[in-house]
Parts: sequence; C-alpha cells; structure tokens
Amino acid sequence: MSRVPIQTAVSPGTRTVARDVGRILEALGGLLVLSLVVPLVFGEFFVVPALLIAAAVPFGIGRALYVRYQDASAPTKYHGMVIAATGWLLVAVFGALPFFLVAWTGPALGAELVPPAASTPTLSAFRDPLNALFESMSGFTGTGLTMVDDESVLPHTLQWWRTFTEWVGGVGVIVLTTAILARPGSGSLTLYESEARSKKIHPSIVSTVRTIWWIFLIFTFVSIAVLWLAGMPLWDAINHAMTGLSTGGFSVTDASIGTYDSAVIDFALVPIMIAGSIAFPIHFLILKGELRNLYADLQTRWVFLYMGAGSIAVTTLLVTNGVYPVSLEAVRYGLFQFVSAATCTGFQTAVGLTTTALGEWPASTQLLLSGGMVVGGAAGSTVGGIKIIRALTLAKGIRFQVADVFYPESAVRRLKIGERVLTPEQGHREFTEAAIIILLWILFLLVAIVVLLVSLDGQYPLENVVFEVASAQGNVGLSTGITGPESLPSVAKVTFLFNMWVGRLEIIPILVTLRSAFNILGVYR
Amino acid sequence: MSPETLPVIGPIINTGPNDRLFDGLLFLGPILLLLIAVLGRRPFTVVFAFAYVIAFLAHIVHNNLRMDAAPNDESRRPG
Repeated sequence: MSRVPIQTAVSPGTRTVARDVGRILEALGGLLVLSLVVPLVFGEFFVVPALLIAAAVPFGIGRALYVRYQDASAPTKYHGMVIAATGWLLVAVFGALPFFLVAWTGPALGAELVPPAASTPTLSAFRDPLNALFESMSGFTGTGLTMVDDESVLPHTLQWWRTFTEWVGGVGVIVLTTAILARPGSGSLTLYESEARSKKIHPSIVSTVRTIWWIFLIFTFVSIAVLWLAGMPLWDAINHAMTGLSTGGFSVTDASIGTYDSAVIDFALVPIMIAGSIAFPIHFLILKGELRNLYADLQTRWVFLYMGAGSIAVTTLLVTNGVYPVSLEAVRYGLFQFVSAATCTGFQTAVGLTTTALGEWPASTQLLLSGGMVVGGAAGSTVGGIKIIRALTLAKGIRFQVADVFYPESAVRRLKIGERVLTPEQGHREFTEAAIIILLWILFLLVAIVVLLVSLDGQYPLENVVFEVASAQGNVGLSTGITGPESLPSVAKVTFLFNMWVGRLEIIPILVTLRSAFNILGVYR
Repeated sequence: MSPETLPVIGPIINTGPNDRLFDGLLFLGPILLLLIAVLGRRPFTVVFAFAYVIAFLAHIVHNNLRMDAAPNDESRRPG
C-alpha cells in the first residue's frame, strides 16, 4: 500500500541514477568479498568480521536500489555524469569501511588473539572516519596521498585493500561495473564516457571494457614478474606492480620505493608507470603487433617526448642546484621522480632515509614536477591530470587563433590535431572544452592553495603547498610531507577529498551533480 | 572442444586480442605467482619468471614483424 506514493515521488531521472549507482555498490561489495582471501592466507582472522560487514553494507544497499529501480530508463548524458559523480563518492564512502571497522574491531577482539598489527598507532588513525574516507578516496581515485604513518605495520588485508582500490580505480569503477554487470544496450556507453573515457576498442562497449580488463590483467602479471626479478619480495612486487600500473602510488613500505634503495628496482618501475600512462586502445594495437603506434599515435608520442624532456630538465636542475653531482644518481632520481609525477603515480625514491627528500629539493624542481602533475599522461589511460591531448589542443588552438590574424578573412583554415583535421565547428568545440577544463582545473588548484596556506598557518613554504595541491588534484600522491593524519588540518583534508574527486572525474560531472543537488534543495535556480 | 567454448576460460579468451600465446600467458600468470609463493626465489622460479617476461615482450615484437609482413590482413586488426 505504501509503495505507490513513494514510487511516484521519485523522478524518472532519480530512478535511473539510483539503479546504476546500486549496480556500482553491488560491484564494490563483490570486491570486498574477493578480498576475504587475503586474511585467510595470512591468518588475519580478526579482520574478517569487519570485512564481511564492509561488504554486506554496500552490497545490500546496492541490491535494494537495483531491485527497486531495475525498470528505470537508460541514462542520458546528464544522468551519466550524475551517476559517475555520485557513484565515485559513494564508492569512496563505503570503501572506507574496512579501514574504519578494522581500526575499531581489531583491538576489541582481544589483544591475546590478534597479532600486533591489530593495535598499532598507525591503524588507530583510521578510527577517525575522516582519515578512513581520505584513504579510500585517495585509493579509488588513484591518488596515493595517505593517512598512514607506516604502511609496513598495517595488516596485510588493509595493505591489499589500499592496493586493490587503486588497481580498480585506475581503470574505473564504472568500467568494472560495466564489464561484470552491464547488459548490452543499457546505456553503458553513456556511463563509460562519463568516467573520463571516450575511445572504444570494439564497437560494443561491454566488449571494450572487458578487453581493457584483459589488457590490465596481463600487464599486471608481467609487472609483478619484472619487479620480483628486480629484487622485490613477492608481496611487495604484487602490490607495487598493481599500484604502479594503475598509476596510483600506494606502497606497502614506510618510505615508498626509497625503502629498497635499489637502482634496478627504480629503473624497472619506470616502464611500468609509463605503460599505465598510455591509452588502453593503443596497448591493444601494440599487442596486436602495431608497435608503430608508440610514435604514430599523437598522445603516445608526446608521452615519451614529454617524459624525456621533463626528466632531463629535472636532472639538470638537480645538478645545477648542487643536490647531486653530475652522475648516474642524478639521472636515477631525476628520471624516476619526473616519470612518477607526470604519470600521476606518486612513487617516491627521493626520501630522507636514503637521499635528499623531495620536500627539500629546490623550489624550481618542485614547481617543474608540479607542472608534470598538472598535465598528466594520455587520455584513456589510468592517469590523472588534465591529460596531454587537452594540453596539445589548447596549445594548437591558441596558435591557430593567433595565426588567424595573418590570413585574409576569406581563407578557409582547419585546426589539425595529430592525424585529425577538424571542421571549424569541431575545432571550436574541442578548443573550448579543453580551455574550460584547464581553466576550472587551475581555479580549483588556486582555491585549495589558499585553503592550505591559511590552515597550515605558514608552516610550509609556498612551493611545498603548490606541490601538495597539484599532487592531490592530479591524483598523483607525491608529498612534501604536508599530508598525514596529524600534520594535515581537517579543513585541508576535506579540501583534498574534493580535489581528488574532481581530479578523477575531470570536474564537469561534479559541477553538474552539485548544480542538480542545489536545484533539488532549492538553493540554486 | 576448443578452449573458447569452455566455461570461465572461454569468455576470458574471447575478450583478449585473439592470440593464443597471450591467452596462455594470462592463465600462466597466477600459476607463476603461486609457484613463487610456495617455492620462493629459486633457480627454477627465476628462470620461469624471466621466461614469462621475455615471452611476453618477444611475442609483441614477433606480432609486429608479422604485421609488417602482411599489413593488409584485416583479420588481425581490432574490431
């Protein structure tokens, strides 16, 4: 009796959003159930109740939403954006449950029954729900900034969950949901595009996302083998291969990759991070034998040019500023840190334990790395940032506009981006889109910089603050030491949560969702 | 019975680039990890892991050479 008025009160658009967000939450529950293997293997039984609850809550809510609204209509572009923004936010919220629940239930299960990993101060930080949410959002968005003081003392299960969130988030939670749960013709393309992807591998979107996961899986196995051969223990190799390929950057060690102090491991990770910053359709063509795409594809060519030029510039600055003498060491740290920044991975070798820490590098070097974090890698890959194609579109568009003055008014000119020759309408649309996103990107960066400067009250120099904010919004994860459970004020944590969220979805879906929410609440007309 | 028709294995094979060696490497991946986990760092596991990586890289180069030799073979192009 009471169901009829509720059904009519929910608008068709809300039903569509609820149904598809429900599917995403169901997938999240499935990921947590899969993760139960880890405590069983490592004998960490004290995390099992927390993990079961953490799986049951999103799965139950997701299932209820899906069953109730399964006959809702297919999503439009607008719905796709709202689903992406809401879905990612809720995935981060429910993905925080394992951190939060393990931190509370671990010690409560009895000190004599649990290993020391259940009651460390590091784990206790997650008793604060904001820290747990920060970790989850950082993981799913592939950022890598962390609320963990010492990753090595975390239970293996939470080490795994951090890694798994980045691995899944790197490809995308919607891509995952589409691959597992979508039916053909159910608006999957709209959702796929709303998660900052556009190129398809196959005509069918479901086939495309399944192929993306196939590629990602085989690359993961190869990366694990490479890192293990380079000298990492197996558990470390599994985690770092997954977070390196997904350009996430979480580590299972206290000092990131700097812990190993191994040039072999550093150089082994560089191609893995670069692989993560190349678009999946290009990987597919390369696997098929079309290696020429490494230079023929505009974005991929620029990935190599830009990583190469940036690494040389950072190395040169390190040498000229006297951080390192002219040596292989300068190349090692300069190359690794620029690639880590520009691929938005966030692995760190420049740590105080073994060498000059990143936060003590010259301001010019930090700002150059910040620039790399803002641009990022190729669209259609796992990286954050504004993406190389947008930077190129903006640069070529500006050159086109300026050059226009030198031609007669009757001249017919076309903007050329790579192999594509755009019509005037296409050129105008793509240039405008790139300009808007880059402008908004800079705007959000500036707001976060101001918030951080005020909340930190002058404890850190400007270059450190710019670096940290660029790292959060670019979903990178490199840190000058500002981010931490105690060192980062709550207001800055909330700001970073927003930066990570807008950075992963490239701003527009978030603004559309916020406008819709304000509309519903009557705040904005 | 072809592998493409098997449950679980079939759908995974059908989503890849339709290449038997890559499919084989994908299924060998978990076995490699299991062997390393059980046996540790031994000559056998090191050789296995090394062969795994080399096979992956060499097959990409091999596919490239084959593609260069028959650039118009539409059957090997992505859908």
